[in-house]
Amino acid sequence: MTGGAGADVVIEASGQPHALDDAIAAAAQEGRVVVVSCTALSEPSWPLEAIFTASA
Amino acid sequence: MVYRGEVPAGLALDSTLPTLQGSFSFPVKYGYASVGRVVDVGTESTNWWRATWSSPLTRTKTATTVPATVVIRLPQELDPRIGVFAANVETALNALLDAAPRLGKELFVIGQGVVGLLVTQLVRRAGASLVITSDLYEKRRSCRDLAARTWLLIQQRRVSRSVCSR
Repeated sequence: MTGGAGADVVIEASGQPHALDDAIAAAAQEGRVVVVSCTALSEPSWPLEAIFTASA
Repeated sequence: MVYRGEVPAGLALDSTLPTLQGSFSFPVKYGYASVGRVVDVGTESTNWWRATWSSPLTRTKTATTVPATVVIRLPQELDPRIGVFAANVETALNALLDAAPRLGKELFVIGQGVVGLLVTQLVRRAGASLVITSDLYEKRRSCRDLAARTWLLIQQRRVSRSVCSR
């Protein structure tokens, strides 16, 4: 669909437990992943807290 | 999440909304998207609010009294029912600003609930050349007609393979 490159921007708005894995896998190199949703009752497989609180 | 009781009970409600107090432990009066007609105003409010449609951030009730500061006055030409999305559009707009889509970029929006649908329409308007959407529920396939060009049913977590395909 994207010529094999992946999407320039992926926006995760579903809140499904494994959607973040898919979002990151679908992004192109140097692409951007935006997380709008929040998930409950499950631990994300990525350390979101560490990523979001890291200094830019 | 609030409805299903999945929010930690010890978490405080949004302190920036004066109409919400306490925590998420049940029973909780919660809900911030509503539309109503202003039937009366206090002495410190100006009269032009009266009889206008507005979208206050408040608990969901048939009639309620709220501070004037939480009321958004809806444009006259807008269908009042659309005003109920004001709070969600705020969320979607934040996503758009973070996404910073540029002309001709290819975007993938996972989830076509209310926020996902609004995000999809915003990125489309921002000039994305390709908007791919996906959702867990087959019945949401028709949302593709709103703004996206391609719609994927999420199956077994491998939707990214389709996005990255040629």
